[in-house]
Amino acid sequence: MTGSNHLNNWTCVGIVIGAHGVAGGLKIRSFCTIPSAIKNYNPLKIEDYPEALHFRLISQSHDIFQVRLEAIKDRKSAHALKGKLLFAERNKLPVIDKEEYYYADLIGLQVKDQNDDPIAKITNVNNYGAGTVIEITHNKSSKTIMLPFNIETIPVVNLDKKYISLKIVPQEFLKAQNH
Amino acid sequence: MSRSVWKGPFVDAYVLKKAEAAKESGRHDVIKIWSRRSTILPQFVGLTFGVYNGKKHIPVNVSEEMIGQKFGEYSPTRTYFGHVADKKAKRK
Repeated sequence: MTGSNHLNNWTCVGIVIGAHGVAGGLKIRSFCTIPSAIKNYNPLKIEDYPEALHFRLISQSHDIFQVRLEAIKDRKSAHALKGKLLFAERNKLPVIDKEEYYYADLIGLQVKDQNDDPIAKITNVNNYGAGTVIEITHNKSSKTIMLPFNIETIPVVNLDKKYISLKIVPQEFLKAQNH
Repeated sequence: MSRSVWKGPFVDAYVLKKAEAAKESGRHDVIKIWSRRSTILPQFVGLTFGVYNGKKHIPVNVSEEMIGQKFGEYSPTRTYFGHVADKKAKRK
């Protein structure tokens, strides 16, 4: 799972997979949980493109959409955008419940121990069907471990100050700190 | 062919021992196991197991719906690089 796509207030929600037709249409793939949600995040920003652009959806097949943009008029310019990522404004994402967090917000947070010392960073968030799992990487040894994302393990999540606190530092990290 | 009922569910003995010890201690540590083939039993509900996937231990928080399945089903062995997009995590 790529977390590097989270640029300041923009979150990666799709990718341009090719040109469609001769009039500058694009084929895009949605990365959203519900693929059609991508149309709620208009306007989208294309990677390396200066401004955000309004998309008009033409048709849909699963997570692939045919779209039109006013700024792109010919097939050549549309083809040049192949492989570029699409970003949505972070504040366009739906409001979430109290104990819910967007993966994009969690990735990159500092991990602090009981003494409030930063020891690691969140590098990935996953869910394999048995609860959310966060992957944290030790600052010194770059050792990576996975922890369950629950209140017993992680009592504090502070998105404003960009850190989480661990109740107990894992044995693997204690060994790495002693070496 | 399915497993005969008279045999009962298969669980590696050391998994049972570790789970019992964890329940008695009342701590919420991740119980590291290598047995992906063991069946999830009702007495494991509420415990968190670290199921080995050949490289690392993936935390598996056992809930009631998981009873009867194998631990390995919740610890994928292949890396999947997806995208975060608008995915949400709930802290329980």
